[in-house]
Amino acid sequence: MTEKNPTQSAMDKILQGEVKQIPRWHFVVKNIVLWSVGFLCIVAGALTVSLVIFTFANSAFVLRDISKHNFFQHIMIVLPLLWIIITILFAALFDIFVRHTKKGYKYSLWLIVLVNMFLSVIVGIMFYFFGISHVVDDMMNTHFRSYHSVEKRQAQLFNNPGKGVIIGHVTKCGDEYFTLVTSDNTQWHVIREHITEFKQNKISDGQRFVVIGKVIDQGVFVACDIRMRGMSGSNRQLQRKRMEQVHENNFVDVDSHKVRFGQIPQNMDVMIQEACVHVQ
Amino acid sequence: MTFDNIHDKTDKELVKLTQKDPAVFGVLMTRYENRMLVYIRRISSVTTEEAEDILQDSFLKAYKNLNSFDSSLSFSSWLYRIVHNETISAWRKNKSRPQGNMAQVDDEFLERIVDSQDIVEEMDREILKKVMMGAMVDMDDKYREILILKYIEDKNYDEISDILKKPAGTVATHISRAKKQFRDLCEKKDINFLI
Repeated sequence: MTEKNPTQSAMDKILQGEVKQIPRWHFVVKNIVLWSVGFLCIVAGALTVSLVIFTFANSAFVLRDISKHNFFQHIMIVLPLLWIIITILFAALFDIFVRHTKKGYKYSLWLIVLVNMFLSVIVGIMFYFFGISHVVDDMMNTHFRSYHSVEKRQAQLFNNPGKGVIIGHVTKCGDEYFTLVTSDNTQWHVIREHITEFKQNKISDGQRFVVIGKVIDQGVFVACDIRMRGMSGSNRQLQRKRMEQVHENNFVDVDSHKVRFGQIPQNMDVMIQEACVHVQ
Repeated sequence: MTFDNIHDKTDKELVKLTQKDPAVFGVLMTRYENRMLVYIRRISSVTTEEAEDILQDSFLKAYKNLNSFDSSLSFSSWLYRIVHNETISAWRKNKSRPQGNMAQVDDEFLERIVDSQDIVEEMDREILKKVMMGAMVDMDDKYREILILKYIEDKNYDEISDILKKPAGTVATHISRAKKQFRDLCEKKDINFLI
């Protein structure tokens, strides 16, 4: 060994005060920050999981028969790719957080991923049922034009007046008709008087429906089939606010299609009957 | 400040006493100095002077971070971890980690392996040790390091897990792969080992 002794050299530096111990509070604060990051990862991961659930729950697979898309196209439209990617990113961040804790290195990657997924799913389901995912989905839609909210996706799947399908909220309801406003704020006067199968009292203001039928005039749609399409995991306050906005936009107050047309066309009944022939 | 029978105290007791008197840390350093120097040279190809520099840096780092020492861990494992990481950092700073230029493998280790083997062919022990040394040099760094910790430093799986900050399952897998690689390299040189 050379003359230089590492122990003595180190001891000299310590005793001369050249090297000082990092105070304990430094490590306490570091731990607090670390665990806060870990907690945020769980919360953020849960939020993205809730959005994945929200999107799939409202992907309307049961209505695929009236969608104009095949199964693969349907999947590609509803797939919440953005939220799935962000969920994976937060899972990776959570793994990094765990590895930096005192004992985290003892756990395998798969165990950490499993724990993260389990916690995210449990909390995510709670967020979904409390309507938090609906709120976030709506916020993203408001602030990012390129973002495809659940409502936009459903409109993409079903709103095709030319092909005889529209989807929207009911704003006014009468015995023989109702007014439906689609997500692009198009107002439709929907004639339903001839539908006997669908119970009339089930249609009320604020509800959301997919209506199958035919356009017979500008803004007039004859309903041949009506299917309820409420929003799973919806936030009630947001729904109320949405309906208020829709009502504010609807300045055309239509009492009935007879008033709407003024003078009733002579072939109105024929038009209505013929509209639904292709649906039957 | 003086303490009674300071050299009889455990590592953890000395860590606590260092908070009252930094000079106590010198006892810990003296206790581990030789062992760590040998370990540094085992996992790298540094000179004695470089090894002493690395060891000094490691001791200073350990002292600085003493308040983060987790008493559920053994001080030995904690210090090994710091020394291991400082040695790796020194390699990276030099931007070279020449393969095939490993420092001496402990002669005692080679003797232990040779004695434990039921080698059919008679072979000069010195030649055998050279063959084994060559095999160790040709191994992947991470496998060689883990083999050194297991068979030379005599660490158990939990201790290796604490030193390398890897799950115990990963440690077991790496040891298994390290042994296989060592056997394969020796077999290429016509030596069959049961390790």
